[in-house]
Amino acid sequence: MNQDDEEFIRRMTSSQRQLRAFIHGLVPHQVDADDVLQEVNMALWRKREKYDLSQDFLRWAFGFASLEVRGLRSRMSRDRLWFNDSVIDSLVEEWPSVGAFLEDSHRSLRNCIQKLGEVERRAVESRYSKRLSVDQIAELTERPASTVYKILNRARESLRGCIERSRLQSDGR
Amino acid sequence: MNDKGFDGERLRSLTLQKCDGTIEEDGTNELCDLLSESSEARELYWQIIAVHCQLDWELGGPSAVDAPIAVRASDDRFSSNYRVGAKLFLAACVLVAASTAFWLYVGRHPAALDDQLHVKVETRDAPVLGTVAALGTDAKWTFGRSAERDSNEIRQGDTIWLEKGAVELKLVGNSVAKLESPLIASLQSADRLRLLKGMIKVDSVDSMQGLTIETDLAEVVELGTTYSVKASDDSTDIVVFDGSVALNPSAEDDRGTSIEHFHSGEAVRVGVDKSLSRIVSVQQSSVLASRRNKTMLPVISAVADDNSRHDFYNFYEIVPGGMEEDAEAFVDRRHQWNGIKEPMPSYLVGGDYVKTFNDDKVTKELQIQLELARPCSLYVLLDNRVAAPDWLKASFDDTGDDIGVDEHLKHLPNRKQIVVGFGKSIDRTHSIWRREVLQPGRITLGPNGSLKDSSHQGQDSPSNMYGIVAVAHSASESFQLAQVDRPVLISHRRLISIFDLQ
Repeated sequence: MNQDDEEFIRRMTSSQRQLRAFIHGLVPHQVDADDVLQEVNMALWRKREKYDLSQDFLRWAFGFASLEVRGLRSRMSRDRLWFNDSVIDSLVEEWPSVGAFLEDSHRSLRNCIQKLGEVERRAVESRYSKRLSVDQIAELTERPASTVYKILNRARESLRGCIERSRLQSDGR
Repeated sequence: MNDKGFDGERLRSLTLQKCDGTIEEDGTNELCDLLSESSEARELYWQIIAVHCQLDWELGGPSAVDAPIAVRASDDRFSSNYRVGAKLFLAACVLVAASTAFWLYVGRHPAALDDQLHVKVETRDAPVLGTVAALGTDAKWTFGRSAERDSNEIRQGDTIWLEKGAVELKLVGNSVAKLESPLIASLQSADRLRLLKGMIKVDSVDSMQGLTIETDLAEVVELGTTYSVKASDDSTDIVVFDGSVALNPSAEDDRGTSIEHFHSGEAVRVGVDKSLSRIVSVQQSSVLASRRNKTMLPVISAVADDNSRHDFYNFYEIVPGGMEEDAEAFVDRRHQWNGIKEPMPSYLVGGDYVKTFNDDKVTKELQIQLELARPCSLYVLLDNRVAAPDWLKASFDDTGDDIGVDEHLKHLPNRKQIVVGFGKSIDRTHSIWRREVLQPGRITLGPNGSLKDSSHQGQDSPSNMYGIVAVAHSASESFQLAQVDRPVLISHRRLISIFDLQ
């Protein structure tokens, strides 16, 4: 394998976090998002000779991801949980401003989790670390599911705000 | 409605429903309307998605989904159209094994039952077909999905992108494969892996079912064996270390008419035109070969010979720093080098050595070329049943030391086995011949000697091919050997530079 291929694989693996979030925001189901990401990875690999290493890899990769998402949408046209084309187009256009947020969240997330209240932090851990559904958390904690939703949503909104504040602080704003 | 003209609270709620997979059609339509309203709404949406994905990525731990493997293996969505019977059998075995393990575990840990019952099973996930573990500390890979939570489980259809280091892949059928970076491979099923780029070594000797590797150029069906496949843009290399493989170089265009079998000690390259050519010299990394020692500066850099038959595929394997007790002697036999009554001579230990192929023992016009990267002591280990050939007597000295061969003779009725350690189960002895090589370059060795007992000749000759070992000179030794005007230091050695030998 030549050095360009090695560098290509390095960039590919480094871009997975961003690509997955991008695809997940556009595709209704997580399993489908994972499938799309694998398809995108393969498409990128097959087209690697057209990629110039001086190019922004993510920008190039998002072009493929957008195409793959649209292709899946047309194949799953009966699925009513898809956004319409206009919304997908708008969201794709909006993505570049969110890429930086995602990178910042990578840096500050764990710190922000520590700032959550005990109840919120446990809810987040149950949902993401233990992969429990809201109903399962509700059963385990003997709370109504609606309450668990509220706790989780409050926690995620707190995290979003914390990450945003960290960004502003690091920007000196 | 917030000051930016959209209902932020509702947007948050609906976006989080989407993240949790609970949003319905009406909610989706409402979310669409909200996202259409303003750029700020879309930015908020993306931020919530980013937090969700980041949590999923950062906090995800191993999923507790082992038990339902068999159920998910039967999911139509992921069933493949080949080896269905084998897979059903495998799935049944896995179900039985998993159930047994599960109930044994529950019997010892009653609380586990409660935990298991509460675990969410995502039935749309592809079946878990194996696990991936790092070999060493620097391995880095991704499956291109919500990675960290499943980073040691590989599922049907997963593509592994191995950026750094090496990993071991264990499949449910007990096949074990070592993958070396950089590599891209996709797991089609428990018995089939598609290799797009990179090197994989498969050990299926103890597995319930074999592992077939397919590349753009070939399909390699293993037949209870240890073999490696390396895929690049313009070739696929197959090396058989043990057992046999069936190679179909026309796998991609499905002609399926040119299946050939390759056996232990053979290596073949499939070209873009599907042509087959011999790979003469093979060298495994220390990770793939499971060697503890890592030689930073190899002495033997390549081996070649003058065999030119079109159907001849034997290879020489260079083992850097690998000479030690129980070192495998040949690529096509499982014989081992061992000390006869005491440990093998210490000057050999840790040297680079070449696993020759024993079928070469009767090739009369053979010439083997060694590329030596450093000044070294070069040793030839010659079977004592054969007379020393002229080329050996002319350029090497007999050290007077011997080394033993512990032979594995699978064709005998009692299948004579090999034994670990020196002084046990020694079947043959080889004399150790030495010469000093003062400069890097090419050395040519000749054919094996003829049997002293001329009643046994031909391919069934009861002799072994010679072995080759090279031990690098230390810096001080090189200096001393270079002082040819000081014979006291070199009286027991024959000094020959490579220029004397060409």
